[in-house]
Amino acid sequence: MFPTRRILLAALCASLALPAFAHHGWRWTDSGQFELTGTIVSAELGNPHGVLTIDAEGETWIAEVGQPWRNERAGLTDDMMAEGIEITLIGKRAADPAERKMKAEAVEIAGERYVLYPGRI
Amino acid sequence: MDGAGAIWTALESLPMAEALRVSRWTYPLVNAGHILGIAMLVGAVLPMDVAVLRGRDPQVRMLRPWAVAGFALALVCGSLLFTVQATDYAASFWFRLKMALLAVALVNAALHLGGRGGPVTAAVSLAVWPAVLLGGRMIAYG
Repeated sequence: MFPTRRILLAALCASLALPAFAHHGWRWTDSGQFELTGTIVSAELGNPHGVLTIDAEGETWIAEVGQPWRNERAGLTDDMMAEGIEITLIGKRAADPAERKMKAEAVEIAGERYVLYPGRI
Repeated sequence: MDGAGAIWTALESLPMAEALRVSRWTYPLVNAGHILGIAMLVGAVLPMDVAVLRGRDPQVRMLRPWAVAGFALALVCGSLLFTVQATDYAASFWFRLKMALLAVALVNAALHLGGRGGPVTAAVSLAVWPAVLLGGRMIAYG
C-alpha cells in the first residue's frame, strides 16, 4: 500500500471516530423542514458552536443549536439544555440520509418555543 | 493519556477560555486575528521562497519581519482558540497533522535562517506552509 493511501485511510478512520465538529451555515443540510424529539444525552454549549447529542427512540442524533449569544437572545439558558431534558428541535437535517445530524432553527422545551433563527422559521 | 487529558481539561477551565467560550465578539475577533497572522506569514513567505528559487535579488528579505510578526500573531490567537476546545482539538486528526507539518516548517525555517538556506529549504517552505494552512482549515471539516 502506498503511504498516501495509508494517510488517507488514517484520515478517514480518524474523522469517523472523532466527536462531531459542527458545520457553518446550511450548505450541508436538506431544504425541507425537519423535527426531532428526544432526550439530551450531552451538551457542548459555547463558541464556536453549540452542539447537543440527542437520544431519539434509541437513535443518536447530533443537533447544532446557537452560539451563546443566539441561545440567550432566544431565551435559552445552558440549564435548559442539560443532560436528561426532553427537547424538540425544529430545523434542517443533513442532506446525507446516513448522517444523523441537524441544525436547529427553533427548539421546544416543556411546551415552550424558543426561536434561534427568527428570519428562517 | 490521562496526564495529557488533564492538561487539556485544565486549559479549558482557564478563566480566559471560559470567557472566550461565551463571548459574542471576542471569539470572532481572535479568530480573525489568527487569519490575519496566517495571511501575513504565508503572504510574506511565499514570495521570499520564489525569489530564492529563481536566484533573485535578496531584496525580498525585507518581508521577513512581516513573516515573523504574522507567525507571532497566529501563534497567540491560535493558542487562545485552542484553549476553548482543547480536548477536541487534541484528538483531531487534522489538528495533529497540522502540528506535525508546523514542526517541519519551523525546523526548515530554522535551517534556512541558520545559514543553510537555499533552493532546498525554499522549496520545502513553499510546500509546507500552505500544507499547514490546509491542515488547519480541515479541522473544521474533519
